[in-house]
Amino acid sequence: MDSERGLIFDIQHFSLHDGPGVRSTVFFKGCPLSCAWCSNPESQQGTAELLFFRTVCAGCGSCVQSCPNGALSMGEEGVSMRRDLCAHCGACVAPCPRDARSLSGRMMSVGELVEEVRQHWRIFMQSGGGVTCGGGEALRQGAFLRTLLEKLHEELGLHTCLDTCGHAPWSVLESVLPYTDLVLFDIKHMDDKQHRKGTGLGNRMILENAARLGRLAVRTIIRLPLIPGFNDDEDNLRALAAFMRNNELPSVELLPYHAFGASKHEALGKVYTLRARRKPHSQKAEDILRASGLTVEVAGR
Amino acid sequence: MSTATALQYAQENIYTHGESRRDTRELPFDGNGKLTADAQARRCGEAALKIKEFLLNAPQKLDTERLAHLLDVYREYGHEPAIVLRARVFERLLRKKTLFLDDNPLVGSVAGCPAGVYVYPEYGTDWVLQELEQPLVSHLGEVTISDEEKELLREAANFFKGRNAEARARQLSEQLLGFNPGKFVQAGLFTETAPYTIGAGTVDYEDFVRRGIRDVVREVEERLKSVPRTAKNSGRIDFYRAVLISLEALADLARRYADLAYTEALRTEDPVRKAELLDMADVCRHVPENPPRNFREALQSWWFIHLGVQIEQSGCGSSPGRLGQYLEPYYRKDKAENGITAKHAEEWFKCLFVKILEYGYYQGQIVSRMNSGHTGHTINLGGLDAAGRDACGELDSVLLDTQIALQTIQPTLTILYHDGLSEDFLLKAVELERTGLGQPQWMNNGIIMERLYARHGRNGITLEDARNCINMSCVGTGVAGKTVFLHENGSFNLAKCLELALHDGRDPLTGHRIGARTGDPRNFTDFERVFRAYSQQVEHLFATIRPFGSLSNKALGDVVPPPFRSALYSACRESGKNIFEGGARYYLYFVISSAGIDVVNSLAAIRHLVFEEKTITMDALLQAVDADFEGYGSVRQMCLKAPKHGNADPGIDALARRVYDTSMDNFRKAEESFFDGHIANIEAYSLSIHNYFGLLTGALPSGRLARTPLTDGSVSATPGTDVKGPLALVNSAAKAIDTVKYGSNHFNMKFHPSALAGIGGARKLLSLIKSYMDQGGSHIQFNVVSSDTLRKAQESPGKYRGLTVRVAGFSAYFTRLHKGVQDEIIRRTELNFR
Repeated sequence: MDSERGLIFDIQHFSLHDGPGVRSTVFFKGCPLSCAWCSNPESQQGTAELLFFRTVCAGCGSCVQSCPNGALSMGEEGVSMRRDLCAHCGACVAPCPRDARSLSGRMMSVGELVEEVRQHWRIFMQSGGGVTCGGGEALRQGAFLRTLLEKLHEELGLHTCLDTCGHAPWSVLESVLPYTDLVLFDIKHMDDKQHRKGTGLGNRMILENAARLGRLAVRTIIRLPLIPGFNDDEDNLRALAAFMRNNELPSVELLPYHAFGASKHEALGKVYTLRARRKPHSQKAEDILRASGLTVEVAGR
Repeated sequence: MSTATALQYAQENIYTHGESRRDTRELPFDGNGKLTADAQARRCGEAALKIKEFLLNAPQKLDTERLAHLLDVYREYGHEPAIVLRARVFERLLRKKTLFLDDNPLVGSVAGCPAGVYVYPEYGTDWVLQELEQPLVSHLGEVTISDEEKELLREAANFFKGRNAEARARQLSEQLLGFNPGKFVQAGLFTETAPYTIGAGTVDYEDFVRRGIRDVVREVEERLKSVPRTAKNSGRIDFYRAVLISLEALADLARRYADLAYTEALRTEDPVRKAELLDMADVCRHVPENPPRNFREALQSWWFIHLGVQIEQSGCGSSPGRLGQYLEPYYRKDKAENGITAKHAEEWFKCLFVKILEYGYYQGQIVSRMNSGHTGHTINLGGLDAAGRDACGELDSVLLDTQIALQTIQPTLTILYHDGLSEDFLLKAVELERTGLGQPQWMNNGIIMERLYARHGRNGITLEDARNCINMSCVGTGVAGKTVFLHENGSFNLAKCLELALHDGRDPLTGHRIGARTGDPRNFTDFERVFRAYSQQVEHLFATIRPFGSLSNKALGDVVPPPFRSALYSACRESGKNIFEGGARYYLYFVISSAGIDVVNSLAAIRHLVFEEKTITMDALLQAVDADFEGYGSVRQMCLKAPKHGNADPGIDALARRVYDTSMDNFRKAEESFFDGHIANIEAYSLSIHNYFGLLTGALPSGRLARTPLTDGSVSATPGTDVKGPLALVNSAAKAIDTVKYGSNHFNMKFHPSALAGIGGARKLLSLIKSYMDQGGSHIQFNVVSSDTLRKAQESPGKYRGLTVRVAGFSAYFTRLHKGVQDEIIRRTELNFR
């Protein structure tokens, strides 16, 4: 595995909700899970992908000629795209006057990434912030992640966060811990079957990793994306609280569900299957978890 | 805050003694039959809200009463020297103008009717005569004027035609320079200064309020007595005469208001109103002639003095300065002796805020487009005291509370930012940002001081004066009470210089050849040639218009020297010279440059496309630009996608700095300052000058279309071109301009409210501000994005490409979200901030 170059789909500066202070978040591309509610669906596939935002498209056709593979054509309903022909080369991105197209995912070196984020050292210092590696799943590119975190943490002394879905071999997770100040660790469901239903994979490896982090007293915040009708029920919340207490994981953060990612599903030619009818029971969830003696935060509040 | 919630707020916060508004059983009087401080404060709050509501919907009313008095005085006193003649105009107005009282217990208005504005034909008549036959339109819509009043305006304009400051500047220019500004103004290169009245910047309110006018009159009488009656003192004698006439006139105005309040008190049946009117009469008999006895009188005294400044000459840029700090002693005394509270002070400040909100001016469509009615009444908070300590007083916080509760677009609040400001104060300032009002603006106190040393080193500025710095207009800085605010020329369009460089000196829209012959750009073989042509145009044009600016100031001094305004500077009183004679201690003497970032983005596009990537020839680029990109859509795309300012691109940051440095170098080369010994400067900000010049500027290589707005501010990104997030924008903005050499910079930043949520959000915003200041940034203000903005972004996504919505673990641009999701975010935005 390449330890010097990795596939990144975005770098967001002035990131305010992924760890303490003002942060730069590096989004790694590729994820073992395929959560139905994923707000960054372009993060899932481990290769570059083309996004086409149809609602922004004015139907001018500027992109059609630029495609070297003939994947684009003008149809009755504007531009149509044959994804089977698309080679994700990105040639159609620049000609679009409305910015309806973008190529997600580019190979970046550790050096490039470090240069990009360290220009904001001043506000990291001011705000007690730093760099968060998220995604996608950063541990999927473990060797690269380790080199990056080591550089940021050891050479530059920056505060580092790992935002992970938890599904990775322990050895990979363990290898980055010396260079990680805080782990943001998702637990999407306590029940293995339900977990598999919602994310495509079971939760055994995830819970094992979480338990180990707790035992080793690694600074960890468990994050629960609160999906209405999936994991905001009392049973799941009580099970989570018990698990956290047993494993000495004291802090949990709730991320209430939002549908902001829907347009990106469509832009990727995917179907957004999750259409929640109601808002998640954030307050109830907060009360239950707090009553169990956990420290609870709700994102964006 | 809506009116309903504001009213509720007022009720919850003012009725502290269990009184209800209609409860007459428990009368709000003290043992002497006077209104209690509580009752009076409650009435202040109610009156302010009511007046604010009225003003939001009131069109400006042109008050022509001034014109009748003006004509009378000029016919009667035409033999007097200009300074005395001007004092007589001021005196006549203050003695004769129609007075009225509204519900506001703070007394006094500029004009004779609510929302009234004055016209000043003695400054310029061109716009009056040109626009008289069409509806007069201000930024608030049509200005109300009757046919009869129009006739009077015509008469006044005809009377002053040929003998106003504008005409005099042009006559002098014709004779001494052989230069006529007409074509240059038409082409949108610059605007003149003589035709338009401007604000005073800063005057020494602190001294006047403290001493009272009577004491200043005594001082001036002494000075007049001791001036030897010799030829060289002729001007000084007239100056002192004029000052005495003006000061007595202001004292008289206050007495007239006292009489009016007393008369109305006798008439009214309402015992509460009667008591209030009697108090008002008592206050107006005492100030501004005498030192104030309490906080309320200090405020009333301040307003009378300010009223005098504005009546003499209305215009943009008149800062109360550090109002809270110099009123603090009166407040503390009143608190200790009479038990007044912060809440009482807040209600009184509300009365002042609506007075300032009411104030306006109308000077024709050019100014209306340039300023959008902005009056630049900037109250300063924070900063350092003379000993270098944090200068914040309790009233600084009260002023923030006042604006959080009232939310008026004028006055604006500026925080003079330094590292010693208290946490509570800073958090309260963020609370005001959250309202979405776009206030306070933040200024770097250290940079302002450094700038004052750089600018006034030759004038021997003291450390105490440098520490007493303020934002004295929209973003122009100076020493409180000592710096005179004057334009050399009005404003200057840098984008026009680039257009001329691309067309060998000929303006493409009007066809006027106003620039230098810098050659056909098609023959330029490298980017340096392009830059040199641009630089030569700037040099040539500053050399052309700066001498005209000097003569414009001579003309203003000849025709409309201001005795009252000059009297408010101790240095003018000492020297016996008015502000146009160099009587003041320091000068902020400047031209506003606009559209610097459009030049940067255009040069960046040329460099990138023509010389680096070589994707297009200069010829093809110019053809597209000259066609306003019609039929050249793909060229425009290339231009729009070329590198732009605001994305932390080191190459572009350096180019921006070079554009601004070159302007300053060429400006300095061109001409000495009219006020010899006092430096002339460029201020870089926009008001809405970028809209006005935008209408007169053709298409640019940046991809901007002809006759559309140029970029606002001076280091802001062109809307939609900052796509690397707010930190990149901040870093680029801090580097774009030498904020010490330049009089100001001006940086607007947009935020979605989600970024400011909670105490954590507040701290993060403060980190951002400090990081920006630490890098040398001088000015920043935030527009918390409103639901209206989001709706606009839905409609025209291209202009709002950089607008991001921040939620944990999620990154997306607003314009790319689904309509339904966008609507959801708009709803949330409304919930949080309405």
